[in-house]
Amino acid sequence: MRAFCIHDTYTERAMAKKVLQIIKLQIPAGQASPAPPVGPALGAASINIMEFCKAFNAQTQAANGTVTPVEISVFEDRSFTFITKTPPAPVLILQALGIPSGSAVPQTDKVGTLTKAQVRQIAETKMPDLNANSIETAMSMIAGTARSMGVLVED
Amino acid sequence: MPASEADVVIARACIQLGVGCREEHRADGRVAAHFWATSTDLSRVRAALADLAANVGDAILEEADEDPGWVTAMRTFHQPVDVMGRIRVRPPWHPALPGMLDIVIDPAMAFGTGQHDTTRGCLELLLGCAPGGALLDIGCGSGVLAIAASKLGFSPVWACDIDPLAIDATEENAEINGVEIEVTQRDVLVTPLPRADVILANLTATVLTSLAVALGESVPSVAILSGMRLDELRPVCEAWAEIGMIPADRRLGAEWCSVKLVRQ
Repeated sequence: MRAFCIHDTYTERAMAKKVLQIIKLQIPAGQASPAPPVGPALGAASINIMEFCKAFNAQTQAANGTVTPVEISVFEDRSFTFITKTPPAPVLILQALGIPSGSAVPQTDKVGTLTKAQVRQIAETKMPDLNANSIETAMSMIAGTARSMGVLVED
Repeated sequence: MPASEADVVIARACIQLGVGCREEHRADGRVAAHFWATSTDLSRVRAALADLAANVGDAILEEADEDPGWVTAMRTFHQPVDVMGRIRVRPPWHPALPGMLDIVIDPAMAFGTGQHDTTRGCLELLLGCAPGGALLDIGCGSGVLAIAASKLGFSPVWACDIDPLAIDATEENAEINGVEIEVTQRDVLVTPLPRADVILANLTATVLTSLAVALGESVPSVAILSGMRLDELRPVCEAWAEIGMIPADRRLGAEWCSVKLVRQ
């Protein structure tokens, strides 16, 4: 039996460096500045705050203002990489409906109804972080989350 | 709070408060979210977080004074930057260089210590402009570009930013450098802009593109734009070409670029 490994040099290079720390932040897209929480978190880790802010803002500029989770890996030479994630599905559902919280008794007490277009939009936003091959699969995952919060979904 | 609830609770808190936070994943499997509040909105933040914590099964809310150590840590990064042998941007604790235009910037919490490629690119392009006339710095951050412009001979110099911390920083740094800058807090895509001969804007490609449209009748003679990644230069230049501004000079770094546009 043969083992195969697919890799690229970029990942290999990144992997070769030791990760010293992973910093998790949630910050508004396109609006990172050296103020808290970025300054305290990154200053303490001695990484280049301006470079992070500029890179984060450039990468998230399309979602301007949406609070975006970001994971920053700090390497032993003080270089860093970061990945951004999409906001949690329940938060996007509440935002779409304009309500503060889901139902305490989701089976019986319904708190709102999502249109199919809203489900599609949330699915498209969440797509990069969902384990879904198609937008239809992603939509049924979002619909499932909505139902578990006492939110009805239009057929 | 328990890790199972953390994602949603933290995201909701950030949205409600309109601020970011740092997540700390502890060894016992619990998650702590750290928020910062200024004295002006302390009571609002305290009330909102107490309300959220009450709705999480098992959450603890703690309050502490900020550890100022991070500001000191950040300052160690701030080294003097010399641009084309003509401008030195330095923190107050480093000496000036004779014969160079001296700009003192205390980095504090706003953008622009001169070290980023985009700030340097703007300063280099600004040095290539004939000084004089009204200049507007959009997204002024620490005020480094506006201060340089004022010292080079542009007058009046206006600066604006969406971030109140940047307004404070620019005002303080203008005073330290003994220059007069009119600083206002505004969203340039919403409030109309004054007509300036030169516009400086170190932002993101999206905002730069929208800015071309937002300028309306206030198209300048020269615009120095930065904050774009290399692949974003072309779409930004296309948007500005629509209002009659064409590239005259540029600075390309490894990742970032700056461009000088002139009115046709």
